[in-house]
Amino acid sequence: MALNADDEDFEWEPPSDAEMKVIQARRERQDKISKLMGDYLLKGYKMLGECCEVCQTILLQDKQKKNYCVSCQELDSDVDKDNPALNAQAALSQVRERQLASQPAAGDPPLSITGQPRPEHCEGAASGLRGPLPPQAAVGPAAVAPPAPVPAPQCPAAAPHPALLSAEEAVLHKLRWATQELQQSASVEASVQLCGLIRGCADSLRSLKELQGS
Amino acid sequence: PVGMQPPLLVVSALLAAVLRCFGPRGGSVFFTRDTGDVLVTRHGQKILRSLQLEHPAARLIVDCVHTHCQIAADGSKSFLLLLSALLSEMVSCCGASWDSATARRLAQRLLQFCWTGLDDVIARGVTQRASLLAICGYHGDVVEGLVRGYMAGRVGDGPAKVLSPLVCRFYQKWSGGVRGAEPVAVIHTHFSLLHTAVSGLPIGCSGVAEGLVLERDWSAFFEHGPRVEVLVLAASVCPAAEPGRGCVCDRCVAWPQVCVCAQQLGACVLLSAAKQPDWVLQWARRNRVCLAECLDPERLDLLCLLGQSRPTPAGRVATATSVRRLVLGGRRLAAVVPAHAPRAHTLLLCGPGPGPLDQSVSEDQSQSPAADCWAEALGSGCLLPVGGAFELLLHDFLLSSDWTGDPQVSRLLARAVLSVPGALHSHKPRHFLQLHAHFLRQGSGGPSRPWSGGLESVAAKRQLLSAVLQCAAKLLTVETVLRVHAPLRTSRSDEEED
Repeated sequence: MALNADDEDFEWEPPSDAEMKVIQARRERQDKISKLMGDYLLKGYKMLGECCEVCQTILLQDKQKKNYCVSCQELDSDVDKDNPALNAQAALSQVRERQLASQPAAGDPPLSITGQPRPEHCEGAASGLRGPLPPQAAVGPAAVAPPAPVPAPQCPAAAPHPALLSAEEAVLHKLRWATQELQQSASVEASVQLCGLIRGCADSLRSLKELQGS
Repeated sequence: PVGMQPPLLVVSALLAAVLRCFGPRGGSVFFTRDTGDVLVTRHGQKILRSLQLEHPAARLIVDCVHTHCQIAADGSKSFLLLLSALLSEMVSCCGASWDSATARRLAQRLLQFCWTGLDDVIARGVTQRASLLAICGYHGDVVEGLVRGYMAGRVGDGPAKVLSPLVCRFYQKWSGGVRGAEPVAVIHTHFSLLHTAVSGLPIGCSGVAEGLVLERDWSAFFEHGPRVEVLVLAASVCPAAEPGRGCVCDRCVAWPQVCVCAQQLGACVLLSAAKQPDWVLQWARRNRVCLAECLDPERLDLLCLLGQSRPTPAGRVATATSVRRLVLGGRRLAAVVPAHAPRAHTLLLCGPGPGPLDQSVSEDQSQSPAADCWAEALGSGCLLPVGGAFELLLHDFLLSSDWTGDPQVSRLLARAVLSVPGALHSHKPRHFLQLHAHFLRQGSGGPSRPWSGGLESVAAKRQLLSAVLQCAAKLLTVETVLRVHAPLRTSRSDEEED
């Protein structure tokens, strides 16, 4: 962005709608975290110089010397379903939005927001943006939507088999990642979400196998 | 590189703690200690100092707030508001983490804007239009406007209704009808000695007393005539004929000298910084001499200064018009009116507890830098209506084509300054929009409605912006945080015992 460029280049581009939604969601979450932290500070909690290993939020310490992370222990228990920064379902609906917006230029792969993978929970949004365009009918609502897009046999630009293989690879990769996260997860809600993700991956793999078989 | 996320979160958390007390309609915070001590306050700095903060960025920010408040005597919450808005604008512009080279460049640009661009922006975008806005349309005394603006933000609307007229009357008594910055400077230089805080009474009992109030009661009090000689003793009295011979104290005043002085000059009031022996009190009662002991030496010095005292072997002698005993609730206070300073008055501030009292008077004893701001404002006429005029004018000018400075920093600052009026009018967002429209109309020469509310000085706002930009630059240049296990020697370590 502008500040990473030379001093002479001041080409500040306003963020797109999708980016704005992510920024807005992130800002709202940060506001909630800081409000909670302010309340706890007034109640006598100490603000430590350390950050939480999971979410990098600054840790608080109560009078019994117990460390407390506001984000993990308080906010994650009522996760905002529409927050694309946190929820894979919301991220996927954002992906669909972008695809709708860029549909006149069908056949071109959508550009990713940043060239680098996001450090958030839903890597699906980033990988979804880098994948090929799926058709409207194939992307149906699921309990927890799979992070990788369902491959498109009708897609004219890519051959079915390589697309199916790469989709399968992506889903397997995500499945492996989710499994690792599940093993390390300490929070109940995060575990539930990861299980949902694994189920979604399994459903995707089943659909891919059916497509390959047909 | 540390990135911007932790400092932004720290500032936001500190702001969330103090924001509930911001503005005339803000509330108070109620602190309790395990020892049972209770403190009710809305003073931003006091709240920040009561929080337990180990994070280095938090301590850096609290230090910056403290430094700013020592200069401006107010504005800790506005400081945090602006800093938080500036940092979050930077984060949404550039992402939460970037490399240290970018951060250093941005810090340099902020500082450059602070040193070279800020004065120009304020002069062209704010000061020129301020003279149109405030003075031409302002009805009322300018000092009164400044006091009203200051008190409303500091103690809240309710107490300000009682205290603002009182403070204005206090200034008027001292100035004697003379307009200008000099009485303000005199008051601010000696303010710690020109006010008395009385705890345990409602705010409505506050008042302006004639003369200097000595904060202790008379040990012996008698009514005396229109002109009295006051003998100020520097030390305890010794019965020996000469000091040092036959007495054990190293500093004392010889009693015979005191008697001689009292007789020759007709001094019938004795004031002493030290405690006097009982037989002196008995003598005073027998001879109808007023006596007050254990007084503050600085107040005695001020009394001697105002009363144009002259030295004698026994001590200093000043002339007073009258001596009185003030009764405030259960508390009695001695008051002396110096003869050569008839305009000397003392502000009596009553409050239900120590917290609200601290609100009324600034904690910092070094008032003269704050006096500079007010004196400069009164002299130059750079005053604006409170409530967001400065921020709105600055925002419009920074985004206009008339300003050709650093566009990135200008855009960041323009968006950040609106956070202050936004928070002030958060209970009525439509009011904020109406205010914006009103100032835009006035600035372009449209019909003006005279302003009768409070005023604030442009110099104080400039100081606030400069402090915020410097603090933001400091936060940006933090590269690594080192954990040190040995205790650090700081000069403020004894203050943290509060």
